[in-house]
Amino acid sequence: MNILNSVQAKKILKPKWSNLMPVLILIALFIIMVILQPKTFSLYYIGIKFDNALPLMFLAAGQTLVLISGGIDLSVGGVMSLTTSMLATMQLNPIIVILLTLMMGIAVGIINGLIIEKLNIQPIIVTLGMWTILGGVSFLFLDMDGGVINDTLHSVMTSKILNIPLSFYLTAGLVILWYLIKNSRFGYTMFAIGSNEKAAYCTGINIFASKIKIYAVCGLFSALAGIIYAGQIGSGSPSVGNNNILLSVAAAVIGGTSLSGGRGSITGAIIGVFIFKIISDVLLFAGIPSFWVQLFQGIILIVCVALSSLYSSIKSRAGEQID
Amino acid sequence: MGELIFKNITKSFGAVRALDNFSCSISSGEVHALLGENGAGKSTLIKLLSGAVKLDTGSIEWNKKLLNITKPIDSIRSGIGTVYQELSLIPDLTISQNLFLNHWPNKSQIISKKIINQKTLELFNKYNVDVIDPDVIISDLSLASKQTIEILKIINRNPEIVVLDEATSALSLKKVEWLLLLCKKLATEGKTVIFISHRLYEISTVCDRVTVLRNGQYIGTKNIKETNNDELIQMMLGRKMSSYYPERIKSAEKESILEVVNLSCGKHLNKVSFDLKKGEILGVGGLAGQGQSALFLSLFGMLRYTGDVKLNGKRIILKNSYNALKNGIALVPEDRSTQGLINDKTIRENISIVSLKSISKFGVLSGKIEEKRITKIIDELNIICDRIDKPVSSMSGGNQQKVVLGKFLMAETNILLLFDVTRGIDVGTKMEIFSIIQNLAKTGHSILYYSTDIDELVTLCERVIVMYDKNISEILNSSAINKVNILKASVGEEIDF
Repeated sequence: MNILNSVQAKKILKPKWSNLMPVLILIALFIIMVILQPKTFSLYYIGIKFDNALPLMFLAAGQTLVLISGGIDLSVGGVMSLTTSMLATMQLNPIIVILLTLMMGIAVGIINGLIIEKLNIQPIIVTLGMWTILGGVSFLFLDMDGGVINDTLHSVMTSKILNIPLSFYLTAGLVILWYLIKNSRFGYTMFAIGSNEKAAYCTGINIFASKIKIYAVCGLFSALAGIIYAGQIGSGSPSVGNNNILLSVAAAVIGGTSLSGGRGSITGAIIGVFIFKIISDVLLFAGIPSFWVQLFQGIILIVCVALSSLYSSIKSRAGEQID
Repeated sequence: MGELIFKNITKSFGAVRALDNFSCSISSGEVHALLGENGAGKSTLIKLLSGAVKLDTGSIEWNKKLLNITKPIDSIRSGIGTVYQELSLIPDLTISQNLFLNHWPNKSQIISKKIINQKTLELFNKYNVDVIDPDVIISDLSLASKQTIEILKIINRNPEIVVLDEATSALSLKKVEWLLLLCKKLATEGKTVIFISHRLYEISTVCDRVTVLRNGQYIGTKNIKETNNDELIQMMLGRKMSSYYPERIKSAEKESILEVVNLSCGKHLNKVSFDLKKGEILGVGGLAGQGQSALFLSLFGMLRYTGDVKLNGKRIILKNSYNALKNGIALVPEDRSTQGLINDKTIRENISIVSLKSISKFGVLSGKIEEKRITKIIDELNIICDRIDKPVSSMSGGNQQKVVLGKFLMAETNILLLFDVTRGIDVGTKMEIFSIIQNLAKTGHSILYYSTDIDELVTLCERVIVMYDKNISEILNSSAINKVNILKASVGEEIDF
C-alpha cells in the first residue's frame, strides 16, 4: 500500500536473505552429497559438474537479461538446437560456421525484439512461435542426433588449462561479464525498463532500441550455449534445446530473478543451474530412483521462490520505509 | 530573456476537448502557476510539453523557435524538465542510479558506482537536502522522499524550463518550503518554472504570475500581487463562491463506538489511545510520517499491532482487511487509481465488489438487486455518470473517489477511515466531498479523517488528534481547533488553552 510510504524508518532490513537463500541451498546440497559419497569432493568431479552445467549456464544467462527487462525468451532452446545442428552438418571452415551460428542467434534476437515492439505482441507468444520455427529448421539440417563436429572445436571445449577444465574459466568469465553489464548503461537501461517501463520512457530512454539489444544479446548467449554443447558432446542434436528452455527460466528464478522484471542476476542464475545439476547426483548417491529427480527439482524451485517471497511479504508487513 | 508561447492549441480526446484554442505566454525568469479545476486542461498542457501526447492544432514556441515534441526524449532535448505527479523513478534502482539514468556521468559505457554516489552526495549538499544513502533502493523510500529525489533528478539535468506537476502534494510542510525556495532560486537563475498546485497558499507565496484555465480554455493571466484568492477561485469556477469551505457542524455528546487503547505497531506507532464517537468526524493531523498511515493501516488490519481495539465495548481482532470489513471498518486510500479501484472494470463492478454476497441469490448475482442498490448509492453520493457500465478509468478523479466511497457504503460499513482522500482533487469537487462526508456523519457513520491540509481539518472536524513522533501529541476539541494550534501540536509544542 502506498500510504505506507509516510511511515518513517531508518534503514532497510539487512542482510538480504532472499539473495543468500540459493547459495545456502547449494551449499547444503553439496554437503549432503559429499557425506553420501565422499569421492565427489574432488577436482575431477567438480570439473565434470562445471562442464555439465556450462551450456545451461549460458542459456540461463541470456534468459536472465530478458527476464530482468520484463520479457521472456522461449526461443533460446530453438537457437541452441539450430546451432548444434548447423555445426554438425555444415561442411565449411569451422570458424565460419561458428560465426554463422552466432550471427543467426543475434538475428533471431533482433527479429524477436522487432516483432514484440513493432507489432506489440507479448514476448511469450512471439518467442514461443520462434522456438517452434527454429525447432523445425533444426530438423531440416539434422533429422536425428548425430552428425560430426569439428575435432578442433571438440578438443578446445574439452581442454584443460593448468589442470582445470575450460568450463571453469568460462564460468568465471560469465561472472565478470555480469559485473560489467550490471554497471553499464546497457544494464541500467535493462533494469529500468523491467522495473517501470513508462518511467523509463519518460526519462528519455529509447525503449525500442534497448529491447532489441537485450533480445539480441540473449540470442547470442543461446548460440554460444549451442556451440559449447556441440563441442563438448562431439555431435549435434536438433532437439537438445527443448528440455533446457524451462530449465533456463527456472534456474534464473531460483537465482532471484523476478518474472515481473526489474530484479535478478546472472550469478544467481549460475547458482540456480548448479542446484538443478547437483540435485540429480544427490538423489543418485542416496539410492533414490532417477525418476524422483524432476519431482525434487520442482520442490526446490517452489521452496526457493516461496522463501524469498515470504521474506518480502514480511518486509512489506513490517512497513519498512526510509524518510 | 526567453519566452515560452502556446499558440491556439487544441487537443481532443475522442469527443472531449481537453484544450480549446488555448494561448498563453510564459517568460523566463518567472515562476508561473497554472490553476484550474481537475479537467480544466492543466495536465493536458503539461503532457503536450513533456511529450506524453501530441497536439492536434496550434504550436508551442520557445525563444521564437518552434518546438516539435512527439516523445519524452524530444521534450528533454528541448531543455524541458518535467517533475511528474506520478513520478518517473525506477523502483528497483538505487537513488544514485536513478539520478544518473540516461544522464550519464561521463562518456564511458561502464558506470562507476563510486562516481555517481559521490555526485549524488554533492547534489544533496548543493540543494540542501537531508542526506540519504545513495545506495538505497527507490521502493524503500517514503513517498515524500521519492518526490524529493524526483525533483533533484530533474533539476540535475539542468533544464531551461522546469515543470512541476503537483510536486508539493506528497511533501511535508518543511519540504514544501524547501521546494518553494528552490523554485525562486531557479527563477532568479533565469529559468522558467511552471508550477501546478491546488494549494492557493503555495501559489501566492512563490509565483509571479498565474494563468487560470477552465474547461480547456484560457481564462486569464494575473500578476499574483494584483489578485487575491477569492478572485482566483471565482476565475477557476466561473461563479462566485459563498465560502471556501462548508460550515462545520457541531454536535452534542455522542457515545463512543471505536475505542483504541495503547495501539503500537513496530517502529511506527507507540501506544496510541483515543476513541471515535458515533456520527463523529474525527480529524487526524500532524506532519507527514508521524505514524498516521500506520494507524490507519492497523485499524484496517493491514499491519500487525499490539494493544486493544474495541468496537462497541467488545474487543475485536483485526488480522486482515477481510476482518476489518466484517466489523464494518473501511479504508479509503489516497491513491484511487492503484489502491482504491480496479481501473479496467466498470463503475458497477467496482461498487459491488465487496458486497457480492448480499446481492446474490443462491450464489448467483442478481442484476436487479445490484442495480437498485447501486442507483441508490449513486444518488446519495452524487456520482456523475450516464451509465453504470462505463469503466471507472473514464471518470474524473473526484468522481472516482466517490466510487471508492460508494463501494464501502454498499458494504454497509459504518466506520470510515479516510486517508487523504482529497489529494489532487480540485476545490469544487472537494466541497462536494466535504458535504458528502458531513451527510455520512449525520446518518450515523463514524469517520476518521486524515488530511495533509490543515484548513480541511479545521473546517470539517469536530475533534482533531494531532500526531507527532509515533504518538498523539494533542487531542483538540471544537473550540480549540484552529490552524495555529494544529501547527503547534504538529511540531510537538505545548498549546496554552
